[in-house]
Amino acid sequence: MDNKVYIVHGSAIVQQGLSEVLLKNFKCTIQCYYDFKSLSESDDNCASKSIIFVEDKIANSTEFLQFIDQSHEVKSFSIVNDCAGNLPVNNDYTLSLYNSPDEIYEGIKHAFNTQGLADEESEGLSNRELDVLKLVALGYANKEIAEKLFISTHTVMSHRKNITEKLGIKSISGLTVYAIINNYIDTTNLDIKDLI
Amino acid sequence: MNRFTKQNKIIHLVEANYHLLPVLNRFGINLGNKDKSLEKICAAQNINIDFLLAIVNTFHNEEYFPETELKSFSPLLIIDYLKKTHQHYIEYVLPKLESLLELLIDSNITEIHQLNIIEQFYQKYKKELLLHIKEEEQEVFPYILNLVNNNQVNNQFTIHSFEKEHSNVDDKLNDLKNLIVKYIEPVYDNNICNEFLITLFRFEKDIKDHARIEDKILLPQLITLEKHING
Repeated sequence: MDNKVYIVHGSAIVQQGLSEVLLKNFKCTIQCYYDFKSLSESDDNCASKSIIFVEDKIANSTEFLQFIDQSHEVKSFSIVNDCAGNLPVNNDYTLSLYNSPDEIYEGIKHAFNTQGLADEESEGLSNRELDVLKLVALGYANKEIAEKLFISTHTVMSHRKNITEKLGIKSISGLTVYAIINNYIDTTNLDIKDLI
Repeated sequence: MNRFTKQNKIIHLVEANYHLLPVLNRFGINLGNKDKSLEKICAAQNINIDFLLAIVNTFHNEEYFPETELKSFSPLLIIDYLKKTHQHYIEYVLPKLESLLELLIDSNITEIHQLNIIEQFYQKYKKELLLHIKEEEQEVFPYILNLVNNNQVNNQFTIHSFEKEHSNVDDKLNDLKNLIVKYIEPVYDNNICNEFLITLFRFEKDIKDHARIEDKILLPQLITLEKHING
């Protein structure tokens, strides 16, 4: 990860702490902002392939989701205040304030496949990405997918970005075709024409 | 990469890049001009040679895109060229792609029917492309013509983001390519498939060039015109 990283969080303590963990483990340059407005208004155009760590309430705001949708190569993690500490470290583009530095490192590495952690089969789509792909192919909107899979809209969009990047397929219809020809969805009772 | 000049002959252009053949046709230039230079051909046919060279050079060389020069041409000239391009897509390229796709499907003798799904996808793409072209020809171009000829701004009219439309249509073309190259079982005649893909690649290049002229030249021209008229 030799990248430009942005941290958008209202707490200076979180900014400092996360910066330290990131710099210790990855080669990157970091820019911090207290809110999304300051980032979007800054001259610092989020370059392609940058990564944004963002406070969860911002991550799920309409402005941010729109921004992420339009910036194809920007990836983002939402930082949640999970004081109960039940948030598993997984591939869901979410970090908890209570994750240990090691967990943060693993979570990031896992999500970006930097060490080839994804299985080599099926174009490297993770199980979670497959779940999202199937629902996208069946025509569900991001918000509906989020509800069905018990994840945030932000996480759904992060998965979608990754799917598109891995498969090289951008349009919803294209993803539907991919899902059908690989038998990921059952089309026996569906009209394929309507689906695509 | 060298740029073509007024002194060049058709053979120079075509030898350097035969994809320029349909581009020349869009200007009304046919073959069989013996050894005449572009300048002479254009003068005889009343074609704006500077505009022709700008279009031919930008089409030939993706790196070359003289925005200021291109913006100096009348939007009427640009619209005329864009319409001819649309016509070429509708009358020649799309029917060619379709007949090749039909041949490709017919060449499959197995029970695997993935290509039929690809055809559905192609039809969806075509529908969107035709809708996009129709909107341009029936709404956008007449609006610009009215702006240029009568200095009239219609404040009700909004250019519903040319660029976003383009990227949606481009995405599907790109997906079509990827689906065939990467994911479909190769249970078809390879030669037909190659022919289909080559036509697709050529079309993709042409349509990108077309979209670039619309987004980077015509749209800014339109915005400048509106500002000028509105004072």
